[in-house]
Amino acid sequence: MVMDPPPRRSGDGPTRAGTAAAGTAVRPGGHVRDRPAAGGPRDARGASGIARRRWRPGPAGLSRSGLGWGQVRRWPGRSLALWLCLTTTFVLGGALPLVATSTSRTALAETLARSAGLTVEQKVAGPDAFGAFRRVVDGQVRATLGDRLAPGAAYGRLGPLELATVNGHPRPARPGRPRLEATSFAPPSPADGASDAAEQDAAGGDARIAMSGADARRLGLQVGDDLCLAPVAGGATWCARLGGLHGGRGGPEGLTQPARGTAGLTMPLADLFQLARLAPGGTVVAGLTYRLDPAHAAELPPGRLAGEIDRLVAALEAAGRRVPSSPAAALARFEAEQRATSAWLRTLTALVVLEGLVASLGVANRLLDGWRAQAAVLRARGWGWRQVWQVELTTLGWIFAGAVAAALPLDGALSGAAGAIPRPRSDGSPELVGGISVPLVGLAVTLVTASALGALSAPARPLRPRSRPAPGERGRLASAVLGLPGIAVLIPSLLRGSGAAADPWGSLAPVAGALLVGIAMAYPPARLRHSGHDPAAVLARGQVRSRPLQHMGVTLVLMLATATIVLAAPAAAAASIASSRAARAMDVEAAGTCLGATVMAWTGLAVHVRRTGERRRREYAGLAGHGLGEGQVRRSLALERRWTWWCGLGGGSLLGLALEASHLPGAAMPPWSAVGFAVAALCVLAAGAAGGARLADREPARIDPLTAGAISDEA
Amino acid sequence: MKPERIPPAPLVRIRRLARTYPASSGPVAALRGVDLDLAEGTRLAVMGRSGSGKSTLLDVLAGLEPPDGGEVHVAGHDLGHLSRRERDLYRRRVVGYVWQQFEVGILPGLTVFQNVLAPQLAGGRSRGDRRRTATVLLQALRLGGRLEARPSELTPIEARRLAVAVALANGPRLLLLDEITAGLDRVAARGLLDDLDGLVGRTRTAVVLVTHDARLCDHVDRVLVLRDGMVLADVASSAAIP
Repeated sequence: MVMDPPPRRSGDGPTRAGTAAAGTAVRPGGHVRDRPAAGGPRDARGASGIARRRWRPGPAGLSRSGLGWGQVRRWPGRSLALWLCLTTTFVLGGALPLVATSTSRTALAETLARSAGLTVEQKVAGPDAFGAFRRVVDGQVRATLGDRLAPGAAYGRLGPLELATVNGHPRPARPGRPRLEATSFAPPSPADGASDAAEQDAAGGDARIAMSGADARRLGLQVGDDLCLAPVAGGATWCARLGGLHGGRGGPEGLTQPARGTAGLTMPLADLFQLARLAPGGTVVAGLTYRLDPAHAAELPPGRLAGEIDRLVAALEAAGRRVPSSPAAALARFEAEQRATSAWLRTLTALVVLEGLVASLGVANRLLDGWRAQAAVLRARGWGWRQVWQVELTTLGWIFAGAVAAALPLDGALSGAAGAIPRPRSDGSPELVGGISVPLVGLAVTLVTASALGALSAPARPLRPRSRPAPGERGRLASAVLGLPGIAVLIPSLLRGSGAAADPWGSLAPVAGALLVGIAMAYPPARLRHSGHDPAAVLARGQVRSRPLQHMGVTLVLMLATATIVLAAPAAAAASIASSRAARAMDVEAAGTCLGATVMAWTGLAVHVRRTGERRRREYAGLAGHGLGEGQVRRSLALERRWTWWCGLGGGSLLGLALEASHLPGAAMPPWSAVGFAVAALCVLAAGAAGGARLADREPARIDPLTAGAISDEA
Repeated sequence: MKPERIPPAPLVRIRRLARTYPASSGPVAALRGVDLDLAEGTRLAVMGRSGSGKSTLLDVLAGLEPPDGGEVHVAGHDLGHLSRRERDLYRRRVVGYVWQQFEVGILPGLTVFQNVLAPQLAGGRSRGDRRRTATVLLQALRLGGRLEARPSELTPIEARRLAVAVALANGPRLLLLDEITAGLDRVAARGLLDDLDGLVGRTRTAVVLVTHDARLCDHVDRVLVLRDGMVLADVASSAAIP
């Protein structure tokens, strides 16, 4: 047989095509299609346009990464759905731990500001003993707690006293007339106190006292009155002039508020000790106050700090000192509340991240399904599974990178708006990256593993139409199902804060969800079980029985979304009435989580509905010849979907209620409001799912035997 | 003594090839004891009734189906004992295949030019080499003017030409064509085979062509006739031309 080169025919391309393919500027083939007809409308573009066309590069080439990007462009809807799921997961998975940390920090600051300081008292005989007491206690406090407790006021107290004369007139004791308690506030340091007393002595004893205006009115005193005081227990009197009135009772900061029925008066420390010397065996009660310094106190977990303070209190009491007030109890109470809130937030995070993971996996599989037919051809032409995997990784990598790029600024903005990132400091960034890294790593590992399993099991021959899932698809599904329990346990442990205890509910919730899905799949509704010979129900029942796994992913997504909404609803409902900034940030984040969970569920459902719709029409196409009508196909699809939705909504509600009962973070809302919010949110979820399904599956239910089983270009 | 000249080993050497498929009614033997030798540059037509095992023979030669019994050696590869990776390399370097439903071998999302580039991406060839090969093949198969067309825009004969170009993209030593001319009129079929002859004649690529059309036998050197999975006849094409 003679093999001559083929004759060149007109229209097949000019001879310079070979040169063009080598990379020159002339387009191979020089196809006439691009050449505008003379006198045509394109002439108006002028010579420059023609010149540009002449320099047009050769035909678009191809690389494996280009093939991956081509999948993104070829399936824009699926790519967008995957991007949406990934972005939502990253935003919520990053923001929730951040808000939890921030909420804890803000609440701690509020607790520290509200809590009583540490007060230490001891009876002292004179200014020297007062100074010694102060030095010893200061040293002890500093040695135990360092800068976490800042010194407050130092005071001396003496009482009870009674008014002997006013302006030289005796003031007889009368029932109901308040007794007096003298207080002196020492300057900040012991050395200052000593010099102050010395100055008072040098002033010649023209003593002046002060008291609150309210107490002066009760006693009928005015500024300038000369008062003589005597200890109730008896003794000489001591006189002074009322030199001034002040607004509050108990001196600065209300630290030494006198007992009920007692009027307080303040005087210099030297006068206080002079007055004490007049009483038989009279001693002054010296007191020191300390406040928690928020900047340093927050360095220790509240529980540990409370323990340190308790240890200090015990040491002080062992030394014979009295400790009337301590912040340890408030800190311990805060620790317990914080543990509950933290566990609730961790469970919420685990739920929403897991939902994102399942939804992303389902949508990614759908996206890669489009590539699977091409991969099979290329495998048959000698591509290795690693090369197929590389294209899949590139496809997923583009979308993954896009999601991370969108999520980081979104996360920062949302967390900043919720007050989670302190302003203007940027030290929230490491926390932000730390928070987002958990869902990021979890999703990356899952997607990479699933795509590797898919590529490994990709058949090496062109796919023919088939109604059953291909091995690759089954492999991915199996990997997802097998991977869920591991991830379910992994995520809460990764999210566990350093000071928080383990939360078994966070780990058990997704496992319980998977069990509920399994039970629901095993027991299809009565409508399907007792459907008789209704063709639509028979078809739906056949699908449910023969392929129970096909709805598992989307049912789990719906179930997790529902549980998330039920769990987050009480906090989200309380967002508008939250009292503190920390609580408001948490409640706003809970509302955002409800929204994110809903969006992901809608996306997953829409992709699933479209996929099952296309698949069923292909599978049932051949039945048209046997009298299967369009209406029956629609009804069969509706039955399958209804079953999925009831499983998801019902199972998710049960799971959410169980989690809610176990966590109950002490929401400030009455229960009926929370229930109302949850019901409204679930209605929105269901209505959106139904609307999304209608939009996604808008193909007419036209079944055509001629196209039965045909592999078509789905683009 | 004059040394005896040893004939070169054939490109394809098949001995007692058997291939069986499981079925609900019991195993179905698609091939039963097929023997075949095929030298480089030889063109072989495989003929026979539907179900005689023609496509199965091609699948085995393509490395898509492992033989159940017998020996199959192609270009030094024992197809019964290839690892997964070796099988990939074999498919990439040794064989090119145009399936009976030739559309399934064409990637719908890519252009004509990219379709010919795609199989080459697995090898270590340079970008320039890949483009040059694709251009030469498409020119020779009269698709030089359709480089940026999508497969859905091609006519049936153009789509077949593209399928052949894709199968030849990696420079195979054995080209398998499964009923590539089915549905074409005689002139179009001959035109396609003429162009193919021009391409493979230069590279000494062996061709196995499954066909039902005995009039195309003037394009081949030998004709193998299968019946019920066994070789009924293996004759020179001149003897088979009606």
